[in-house]
Amino acid sequence: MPGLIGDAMVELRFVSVDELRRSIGKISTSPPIEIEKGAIKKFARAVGASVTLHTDDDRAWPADYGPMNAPEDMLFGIEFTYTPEPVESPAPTVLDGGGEWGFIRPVRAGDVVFFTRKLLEVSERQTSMGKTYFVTTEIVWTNQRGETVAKARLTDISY
Amino acid sequence: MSSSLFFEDLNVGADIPALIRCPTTQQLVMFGAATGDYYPLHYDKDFAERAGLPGVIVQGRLKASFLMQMLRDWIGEQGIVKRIAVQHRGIDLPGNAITCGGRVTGKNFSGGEYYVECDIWVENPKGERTVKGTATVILPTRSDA
Repeated sequence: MPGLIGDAMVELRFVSVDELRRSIGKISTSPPIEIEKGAIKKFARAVGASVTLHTDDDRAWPADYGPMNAPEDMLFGIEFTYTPEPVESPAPTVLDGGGEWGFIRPVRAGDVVFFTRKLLEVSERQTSMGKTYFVTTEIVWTNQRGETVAKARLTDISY
Repeated sequence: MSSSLFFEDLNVGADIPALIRCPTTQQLVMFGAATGDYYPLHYDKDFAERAGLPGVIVQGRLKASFLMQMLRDWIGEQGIVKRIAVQHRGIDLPGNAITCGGRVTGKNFSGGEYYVECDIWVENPKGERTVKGTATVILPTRSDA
């Protein structure tokens, strides 16, 4: 099933759970992503953020540090836009199971970040939805100075 | 946005001021456009129903963003959100008010920073917690001010 992501059509590719498990440990890398003021404002408006740090051109945190800060949760969505390869799933419906994010350094307008994604684990069990798969990945974001800015461990639920 | 919150001002057990949001289908589309998440579960009713859902559902990461807003509003501009962890235990539908809440579960000093640990959650209109999680924030102290 194709989906519009960024400027490219990216597929949700169905694979067997065995094939998916063969990708455990494999790392994929996104292209460089420029953090733009317009994208920050668009994200802040979309989530209804009230913090002027993310919408006021003259503000920044900490004060006098320069350009506009991206809300940390903007990183939640960057991987959707810039995912480098087809998203593989053993089942047609994919739900966000949640995750854990650690924010290490601020990301600001003008920064260029990229992320790596590594498949960590694929498990399955019977649930009220039938045979259900739990796919866990690790995401690491890095800026143009080679500094780690955030890390995440995420779980998707497929059925 | 609240004024700065200081480490000394909090006790374990303190409630985080609730944040109420009522996401609309329009907001789901805006979030999809802002993040690149065009998965049809969030805008295509027929697709969602074929997947066994009652209709399009609120993105899990949008709910996580609401929780981040709650934390940022609470800690003020001098505070830092260091970590958030969420588990999505249930779906939420657009058009329903959802309430983000939290409570302080611990305080500690480490590596020169003052950390506050919290439980956080999202409740639907029935009071069911569709998101459960934890968060860690860093706060300034009054001596820093």
